[in-house]
Amino acid sequence: MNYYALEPGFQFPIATYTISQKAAEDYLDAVEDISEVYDNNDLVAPTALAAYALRGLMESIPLPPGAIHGSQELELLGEVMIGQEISCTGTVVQNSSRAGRRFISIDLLVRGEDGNPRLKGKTTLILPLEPTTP
Amino acid sequence: MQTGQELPSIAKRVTQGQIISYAEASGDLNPVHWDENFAKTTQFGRTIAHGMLVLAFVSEMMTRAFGRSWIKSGKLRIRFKAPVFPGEVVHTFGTVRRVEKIDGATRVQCIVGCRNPQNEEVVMGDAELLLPSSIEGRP
Repeated sequence: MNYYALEPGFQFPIATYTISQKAAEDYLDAVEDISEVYDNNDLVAPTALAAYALRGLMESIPLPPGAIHGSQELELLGEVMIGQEISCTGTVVQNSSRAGRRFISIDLLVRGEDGNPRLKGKTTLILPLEPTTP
Repeated sequence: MQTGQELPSIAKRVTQGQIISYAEASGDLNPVHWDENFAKTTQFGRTIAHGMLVLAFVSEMMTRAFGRSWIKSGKLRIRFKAPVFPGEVVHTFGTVRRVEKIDGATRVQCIVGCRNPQNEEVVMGDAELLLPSSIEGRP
């Protein structure tokens, strides 16, 4: 299975992660976010949740090299704390080609360990030309 | 919080080291971000920062301006318009476009984005959130 063949409605397998303190801190260090809101608490950055959602997609079906992000929508629905488990999935909503490139839109959903949504989103990826079979 | 109010901008110097750190933290190991030889074969000609890294800068701007209200209720719609290359300093921007009272809360809508050293928009979109009626948000 590859991204070029994904049909609208395809649902990626659910990926679950427990966000460790190190992972949460590594993320904040990587984006160099020094917001005071993260001081002295176990709050996970909301964009880290989006990154995990995208990680779940890529771990299920690797992106072809050279794929880039076209657009991103995020809806933040609640806090996630360090040590909590999240469940991430995605559903393909569009897969089309134009101007020699492929555009794939995927709805993202991250649930907290209580099953309630913590983040929704839509990501649009732009893929290079489809590989041709020799 | 008033229409037209500018949110405090954040400047970020994007380095290749940071891009690699983000790749490891996020799990996005697309070679366009870290493999110079591969990146030379792409339209960009060199490595570029992850779009989600630049988006995180915008989210940080919103977090700093609105605190946990952003984390609990924020919405963000972003287009990635241009690449960010390692070595560039980018600046976020945000302007309050609309403030309205809704069901005892205050909805704040903003135009947001990020510009490169050439003052070109690399990321552009809008954001909104709900503030409890007791909080107006820090300017």
